[in-house]
Amino acid sequence: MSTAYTKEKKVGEGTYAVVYLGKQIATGRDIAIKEIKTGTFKDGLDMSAIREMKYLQELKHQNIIELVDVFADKEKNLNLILEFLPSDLEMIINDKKLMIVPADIKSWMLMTLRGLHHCHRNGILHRDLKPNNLLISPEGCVKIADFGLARSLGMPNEKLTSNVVTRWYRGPELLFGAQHYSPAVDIWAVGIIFAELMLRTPYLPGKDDADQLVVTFQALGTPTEENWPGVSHLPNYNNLTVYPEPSRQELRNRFPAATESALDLMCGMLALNPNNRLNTEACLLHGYFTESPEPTEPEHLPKKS
Amino acid sequence: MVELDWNNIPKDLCPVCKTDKYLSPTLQFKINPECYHKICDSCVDRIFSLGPSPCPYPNCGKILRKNRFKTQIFDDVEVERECDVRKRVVAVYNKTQEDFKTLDEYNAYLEEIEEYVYKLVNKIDVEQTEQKLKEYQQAHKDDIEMSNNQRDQEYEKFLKLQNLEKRYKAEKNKINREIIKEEQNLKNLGKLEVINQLQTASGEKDADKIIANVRDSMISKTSNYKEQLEELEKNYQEQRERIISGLDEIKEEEKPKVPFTPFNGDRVVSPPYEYGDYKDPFLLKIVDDVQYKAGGYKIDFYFHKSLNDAFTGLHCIIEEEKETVDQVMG
Repeated sequence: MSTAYTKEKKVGEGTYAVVYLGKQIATGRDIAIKEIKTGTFKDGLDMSAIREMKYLQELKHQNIIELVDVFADKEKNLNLILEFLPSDLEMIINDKKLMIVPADIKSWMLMTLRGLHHCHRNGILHRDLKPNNLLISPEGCVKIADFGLARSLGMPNEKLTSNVVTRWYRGPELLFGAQHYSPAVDIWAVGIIFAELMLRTPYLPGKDDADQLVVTFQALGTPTEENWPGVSHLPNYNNLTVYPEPSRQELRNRFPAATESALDLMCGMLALNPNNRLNTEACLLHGYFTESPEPTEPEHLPKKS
Repeated sequence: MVELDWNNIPKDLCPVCKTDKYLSPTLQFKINPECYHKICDSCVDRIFSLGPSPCPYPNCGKILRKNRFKTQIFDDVEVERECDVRKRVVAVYNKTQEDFKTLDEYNAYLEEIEEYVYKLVNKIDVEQTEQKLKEYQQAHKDDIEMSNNQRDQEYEKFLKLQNLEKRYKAEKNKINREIIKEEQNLKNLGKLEVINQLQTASGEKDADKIIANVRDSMISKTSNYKEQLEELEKNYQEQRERIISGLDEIKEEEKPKVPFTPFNGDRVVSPPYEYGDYKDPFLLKIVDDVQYKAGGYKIDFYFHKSLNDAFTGLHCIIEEEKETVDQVMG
């Protein structure tokens, strides 16, 4: 199997894998080879490698990174062959030379939600959505990547760890340490990404886990038993400073470029109570996507030069 | 000081500040199409900067605004005025000859325009005429806009053609220059070549042959350029045709556009299973807990997932899928 691909150069190294750039010999297309280090873990393979393989093999969608192949080489290293995607949304947000117009944001949101919709309808939570994990293909398509923290919802009695999602994109139920949550945690992350695209700076950058709670509630109000029944029973809920919910006008001032329906959608995705948060279907059917301007065609989106 | 005769203002004098063009050559006159009284630039700035003011000419009294002032094009104010009026009428009456079936109709249309212009210029029935003009504009709003668009398009086409021609001419000149240069070179080179070959050639009989050879190669090289020139000419004609017939624009728009749908056509509205009001007392008891409710957990999601897992595989024939995969993988 390893003869079907060439390994050209090393492009990165993570805790559990080395990433190489290569080519599929039969088709000549660029691919990324993720070589999983074995032997460094005493219980066999790292958990995230297994998760990544398990879910990517199931998920085929134009807005989810394609897992082309998996094989073990002579040294018994596990190789994941992934579609090669040269840039990500974080690079675009941080590249101050690029001009982002509302239609571009709509296009990125649309593609992200389509990909996430495909995950959720197959019962899979991504649990690590952030601009850095939304890769961009040379044609401009958003592809959700890094399924190292993903899992499918098991039996209801299973406990899920609340220590998931990069801090700035972590929903309030996770911050409170909930162990039985839902796909709504991904929606929260997408809502924060939406805000970040409009602001071009992270929306809720908490310095640590405690600060994240403060920052989140300063921006969106502190949840109470009234708007979120049962919230006070969650493990980490204690001694909160109560911040008032922001008025519509305050949100308008914070997001001067957003239209009313863009704000509606964002608020729907950033509902504190996960039971009230929109699901992917409701997000995609939101009027924001059908109102003018039309989402930019992927190939015309701003690209990292 | 001599009192200024307002009815007979000298040509190079601003009647407001009495500055003379002779003494300050930078003097510029402006007029306002309300009354066409000339005032110098600095006076316009001074008087009208703070908003609309009445015209400084005695017995005029028209309220003038600064943004309407413009540089006078014609010396004769009357000509200037007629031009302005004509411009205004023609902006509304903007049909072209192609819009009429017969020449007579078109002439009648032109006659109508002339009548309006005449009346407005000579201040006959001004109010009535203005009213008519307004009514016509209201009635033919769409037509006027369409005509305007058409004219813009024509103009764009014209610009495109002009651009194309410019490029074509530059290219042609370049090739022609190359040809002349090459011919010159070849001539000199040919001479040298002939001499060289004649020196090394053994028999005298070859002399004619050698000269013919060199000439042939010269001709083939120049004809190469001629071909390039013909190619260019052909290209130019093709592109010209395309611009004239408006085909180049259609080509851009021809790309079929998929109508927008939020799910991009990928939405399962009716799942392959029916999920009525299924109740599992065991699971429902687990989920009936504040930790589940507050965390946003929904048992429905789990039921859907389980049913989906069970049913979506039903129409998948793995053997068939494998074949296509093998094909792709070679």
